[in-house]
Amino acid sequence: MLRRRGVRVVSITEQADDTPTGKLLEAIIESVDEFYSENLDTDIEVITATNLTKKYSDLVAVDSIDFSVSKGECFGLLGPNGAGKTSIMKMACCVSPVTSGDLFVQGKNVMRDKRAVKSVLGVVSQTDSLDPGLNVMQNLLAYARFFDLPGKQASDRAWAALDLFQLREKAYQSTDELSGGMRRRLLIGRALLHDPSILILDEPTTGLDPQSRHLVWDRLLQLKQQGITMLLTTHYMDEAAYLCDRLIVMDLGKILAEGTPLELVRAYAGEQVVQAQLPSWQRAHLEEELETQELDFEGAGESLLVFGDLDRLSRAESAWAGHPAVRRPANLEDVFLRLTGRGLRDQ
Amino acid sequence: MSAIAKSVRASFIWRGFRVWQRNRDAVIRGWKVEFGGIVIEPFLVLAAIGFGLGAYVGDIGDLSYAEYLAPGLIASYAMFHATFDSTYGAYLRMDSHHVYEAMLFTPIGPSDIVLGEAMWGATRAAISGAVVLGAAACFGLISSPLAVLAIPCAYLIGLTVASIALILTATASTIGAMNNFFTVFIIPMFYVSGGFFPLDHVPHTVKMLSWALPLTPAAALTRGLVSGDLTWLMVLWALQLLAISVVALCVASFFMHRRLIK
Repeated sequence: MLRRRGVRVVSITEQADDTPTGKLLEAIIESVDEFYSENLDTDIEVITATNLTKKYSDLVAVDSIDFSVSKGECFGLLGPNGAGKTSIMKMACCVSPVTSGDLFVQGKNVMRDKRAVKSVLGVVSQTDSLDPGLNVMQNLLAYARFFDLPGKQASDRAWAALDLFQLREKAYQSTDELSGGMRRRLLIGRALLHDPSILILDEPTTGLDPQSRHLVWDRLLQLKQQGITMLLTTHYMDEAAYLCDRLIVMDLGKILAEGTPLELVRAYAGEQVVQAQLPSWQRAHLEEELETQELDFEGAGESLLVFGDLDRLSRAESAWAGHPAVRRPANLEDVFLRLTGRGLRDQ
Repeated sequence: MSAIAKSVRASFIWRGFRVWQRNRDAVIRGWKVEFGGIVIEPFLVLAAIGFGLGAYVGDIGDLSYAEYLAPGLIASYAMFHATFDSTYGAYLRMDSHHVYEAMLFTPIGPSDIVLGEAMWGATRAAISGAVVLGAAACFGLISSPLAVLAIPCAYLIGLTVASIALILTATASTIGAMNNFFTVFIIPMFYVSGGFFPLDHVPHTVKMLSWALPLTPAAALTRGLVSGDLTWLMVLWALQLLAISVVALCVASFFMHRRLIK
């Protein structure tokens, strides 16, 4: 479990007594406790949603869901278009009112203490909202002023952000001259100026080339190591697996599954997957056989996917013999598609 | 930081100022584009209408036509510059450039944006008012030192008109909707404001209506300051503009909130 809860050494405390050894033990336990609470802080929930609901006139975008994000973890929201991910993000950023239920960010109600909530959040939204009227540096400085940072600090932080995302030589250029990857890096850098404790990232690497993507991932990991909590949505399963400590898979406003990436893969797709090219009309007898072997399988277009561990898959090998087939480790994409189905969403 | 400085920094006026700073930076960055229009036009209009047409019009009261026209131009130009920025300019920032969207992810809220935009419209009005005033001074049309107060007066006119314009911006579904604001509100106000000619001979209803709108009291207020012919009514006119501004700012904030926070 990456959620480092329950690691604390608590049971010994009950035996602690007035003897020197007892006192020493108590001191050790206290310091261990302190270490966990100060450096990991996994018991501190920084985002808590209870019965969170969002309705737009007749559409229920988020349907009474509960989740919580602990301090320092990267929490992923996965789901097809229309699952409710962006609605959750917008509610957390106080730019979309909660219809019912509660949403707390660092103990503050997003419907009441908007300014306090917004001052601890760094937000990278899906929209490219760089200001075309200002150059790169001015974009950062104007943003820092919105957080009321003093001038000197704002310019120091702006240069640090440019350095972090390798944009120093672009400081005085127009934002129109930046490539897509540079723009996204600048947007993330801009979200960090006020030293936020929580970073909200709505599809931070969509449309980026592999180089930019890896740079962004690298920086996000670096920020995570510094203790920043992250709430992330993405359509890239490799990104979710790489960055997220824990995630939820959503569809139609409801949570379908929750866990660490590994837990979810094991629970919903097993260890290995065989993907065989088998048109549906050739599959009927095969599926019977797989059922008798109690193997988990799924027809997907022109392919048949069979899930299981290495042993059981090799025992069933004869079933798809003679058809092109590959075996690979199960991944989050398998989980995602099994949970949310293969139908297109925006039609 | 003193207690006063602290409470100023926590107030909506300070947050509005932050929005104002963003617009200031953007204009300074592209000032060359706007410079010509703001500076050359007043000279042209004063020369053509004030002296050219004015020669056929004759004196109005104690004033030559050009002297009569100058304060009317200050008020009208203040109105136009504030309106252009708070309609087309603000709509672009809100809709196409996503500037407001970025602001909303910071402690800035919709009403801070409205206030900052109105303050910015007012600043542009003050700048254009100052340029017209300078042009009028170059033509020797200014006699009272009080005329310098026409600049803060232009700010107030700009604040009033920008606040009204922002109601439209916050409710417009397309940028084309701005055109109606000009044809229905701004242009009629421009013609029947007492800026070009006294309203003595216009129909009574039109006259009454025009005094309820911002530009007529604004032009009269500016004329009083520029000519140095002060009356107590000027206090009333200033208060009228201020009251319209406050109400319009509240209404614009309401609609801006409804538009941006969904």
